[in-house]
Amino acid sequence: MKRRLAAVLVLAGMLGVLGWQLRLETRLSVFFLGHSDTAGLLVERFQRSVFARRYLLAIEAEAEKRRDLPGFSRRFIAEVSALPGVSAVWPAFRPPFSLPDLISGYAPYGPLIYSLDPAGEAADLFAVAALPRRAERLKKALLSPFGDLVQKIAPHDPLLLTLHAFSDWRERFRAGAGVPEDFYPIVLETGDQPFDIDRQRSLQQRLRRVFSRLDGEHGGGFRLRMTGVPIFAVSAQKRVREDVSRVTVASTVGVMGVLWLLFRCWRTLPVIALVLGFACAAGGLATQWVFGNVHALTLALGATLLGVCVDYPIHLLAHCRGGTPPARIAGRLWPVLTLGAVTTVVGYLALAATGYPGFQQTSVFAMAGIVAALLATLFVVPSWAVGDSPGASLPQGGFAALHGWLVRHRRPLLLAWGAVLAGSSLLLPRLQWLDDLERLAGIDAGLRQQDRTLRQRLGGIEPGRAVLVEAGDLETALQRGEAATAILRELKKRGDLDAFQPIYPWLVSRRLQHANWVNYRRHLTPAFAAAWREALAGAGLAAEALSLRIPDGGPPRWLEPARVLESKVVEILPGQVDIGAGRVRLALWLGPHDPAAVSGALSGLDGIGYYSQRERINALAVRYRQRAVLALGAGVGVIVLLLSLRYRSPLGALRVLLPGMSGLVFTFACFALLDQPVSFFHLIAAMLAVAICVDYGIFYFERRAGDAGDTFRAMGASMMTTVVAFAALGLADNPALKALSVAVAGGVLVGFLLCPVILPDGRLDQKHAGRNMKR
Amino acid sequence: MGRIVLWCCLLGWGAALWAADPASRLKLSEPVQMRYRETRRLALLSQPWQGTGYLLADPAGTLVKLQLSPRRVIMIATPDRLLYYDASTGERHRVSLPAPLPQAEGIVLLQHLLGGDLEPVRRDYRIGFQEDGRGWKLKLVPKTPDSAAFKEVSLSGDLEGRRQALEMTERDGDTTITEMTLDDRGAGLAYTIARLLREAAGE
Repeated sequence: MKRRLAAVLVLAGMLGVLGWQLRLETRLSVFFLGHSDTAGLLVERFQRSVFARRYLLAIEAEAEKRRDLPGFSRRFIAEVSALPGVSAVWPAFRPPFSLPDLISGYAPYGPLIYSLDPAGEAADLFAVAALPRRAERLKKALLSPFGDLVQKIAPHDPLLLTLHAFSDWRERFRAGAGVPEDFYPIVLETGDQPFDIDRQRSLQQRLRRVFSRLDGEHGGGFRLRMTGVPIFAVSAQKRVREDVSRVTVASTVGVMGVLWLLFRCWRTLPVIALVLGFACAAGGLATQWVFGNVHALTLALGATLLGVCVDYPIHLLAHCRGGTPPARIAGRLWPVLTLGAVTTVVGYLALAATGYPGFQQTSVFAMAGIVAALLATLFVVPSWAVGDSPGASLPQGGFAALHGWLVRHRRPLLLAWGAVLAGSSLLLPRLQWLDDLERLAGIDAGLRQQDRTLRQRLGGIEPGRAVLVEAGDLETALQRGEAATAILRELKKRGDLDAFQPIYPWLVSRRLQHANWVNYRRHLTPAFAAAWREALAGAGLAAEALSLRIPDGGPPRWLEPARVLESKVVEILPGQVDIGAGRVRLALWLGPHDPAAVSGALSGLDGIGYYSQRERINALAVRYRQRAVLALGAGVGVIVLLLSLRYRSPLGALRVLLPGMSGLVFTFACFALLDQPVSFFHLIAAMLAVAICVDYGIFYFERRAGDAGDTFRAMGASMMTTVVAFAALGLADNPALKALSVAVAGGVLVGFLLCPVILPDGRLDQKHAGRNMKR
Repeated sequence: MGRIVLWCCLLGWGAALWAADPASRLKLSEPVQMRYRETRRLALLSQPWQGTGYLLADPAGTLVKLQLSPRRVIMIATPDRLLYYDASTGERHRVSLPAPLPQAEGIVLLQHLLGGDLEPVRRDYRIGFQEDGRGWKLKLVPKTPDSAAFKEVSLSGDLEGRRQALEMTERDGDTTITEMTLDDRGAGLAYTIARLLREAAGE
């Protein structure tokens, strides 16, 4: 009684600490990319930037409502700007900062920043013959209602060299650029963190409410579309939570249902629930302590652990017959159970070895859970089962009959197994690999399409694709960034790149400033200045105010990039400059482009690389798959080694392993036959299935119950709970969880059925059996 | 007799009040077309620049500035957007209104003034109105001079409504004077406005 109370108190204590410390993580990127990889770091940096706190909204109108669209949208903006959580909202084509004001601030630096190739462009920029035309253009711009920028720059930089420097930005500062007719794009910035899901969800609900009300007041005909990191975050959390609750409920109800069907005894359930409670609490605590959080997908995968851990108490209870005290049975079964647990742990270790962040968490969760379940089975379950034999009620019918049939038809089944195995092996080369991590992550396809459409319609730069520049200091990084910008301009001319957002000339290296200045001084001769005066006079411009002054020394002052970064200019370059200790990273965001052309043009340049989040992530998936193959091989090798040590016979070890390996081959052959692409999730699932099936192999091979039928019956109970638990994963929306479900459930079922067929019927195991009987 | 005098006094006072309301003086009841001559004095120009053409306005709040000299340019302000079309270069701009474009504020201001829509003007300017036997004058002084596009704006006209003049002084001292003379009025001008709108929009 004291033991029972102590067990309950320990479990309650563990659950209490878990409840107190648990920090649930729902970001899919953390599970799929983690924090340590470059891609993960970039994603995390982006998620912290102001970009991630921005919604992109689009209001669309039916044809007859188009005229009302601007008015409706302005009213919407006015109303939502007052909502709690909204820090700023503006039409996307009219940002809250004045680009002309910021650019005009560079006018005094025009002679320092005007070209990426000052020597090469000198002939065009300082051609005397072109000066009258330039003066006419200047006059026209001064008189134009859209010549605001020129009017600000001209007094400081009459040749408008500053505008030449900002030629990559011309489209963006052209008045009225990007104002679409058929929809009204709006940017909304929230003051709350993008992953503060509760607040973001409330904000989204409020936005929809305001829109519906206004739409009603205008007689309908308008539609609101929203995208942005907070939209994906809320959607992902909703899906993950739904997956977790669906899988957990289905898994728990399914496992309990199977146990009831098997034991027909309610008293068995609390005993098993106690073991599962220990497993989950230990898994949760270990994960929280090691990683500082528990991902919701880890919990969903952890739910499958119920199906694995339940094997140990079932196996023990199934042997509780004939009045033998449960403690004695536990003492007899502990080597088998421990070996089974160790081989499963090896499977999860292989999972962790892939380096896949989400699976590292899952492995820690599972390994801690398995150890806790084993200890609870050996030390807690016997005290609850004292004086009772719940396992006695395990039905003899179904599994006994199945076992009898399998044993009776062992020879033809062996032949069939050999034939199917050979056929399956032939099918394996047809396997197709799926390395698209975005598809595996199960990001809402509708939202993704909407995001893509909206950004394409706005001709937007997507922060997921960039040229990354890295150097030890800012000056070197800027020089490299300028080299990359020159290449990107060429690519744009060739049509391989639609748009890009460079850092030049907002920040310009001292080397380029010096080169510009030297060329400017060389061409700004008295004759050139006189020709300019003449051109001004000819155009009717004020020669005095717009004349060129020949400098007598160096520039009055250099453009200091470090100081620029303290100004409002940083708002133009969100997430593009990252200065750390001893290293500087620059990101040049890209618009639609040909990845091969861009990466090819940049190859071989020191410190410059092409980065595409999607391709990077998919490259990671390929790496994970390769590691998964290695992990699978290593895991199987370690299991073989452990079994060989146990049985002092490699042949025996291989026999124990064969059912699981056969299950793996059959399952993958099915995927190949059905043209179902296979990811590293499937490989990992296969590893798990092998690890679980090895338990069955061990149980059947050692037969501590003495009777093969009894052992098969206990294994059957375990198999059913495992299959039910993993089948429950199939109810999840997430494709990765679905992959695990099919591969593990299929592999385990096949492995279980093959045990009586492949493993010796006891005659080959007399030595072990004899030793067991003596115990 | 005394009562008649009293009524006459009251009616005269009411008429004076009505006449002193700038909105009623400016409000359009039908489309109008005016010839205009614009003179700009900019610090960066060695001599004043002049342009001529037609201004068309309708009661719905559309203002068309059709510049014919020195080259054909159409600029149109509707309640929602601003269109610009330079026929000599084919350059087109389309801006959703209101827009923070200092140079576009001139035509938007004129749009409001000619349409008698003074509410948006009052948000940024203090309005002074004077009228005597020869004509009337509307003077706008910005409420926040540092952020306003214009230091001072005045619109004056004769009592018959045939001539008007708009003088705008920018913060940097540049001035623009637009002299307008009534050329035509009537519903038929709506077709001209619609045609110019299509041309400016490139439809």
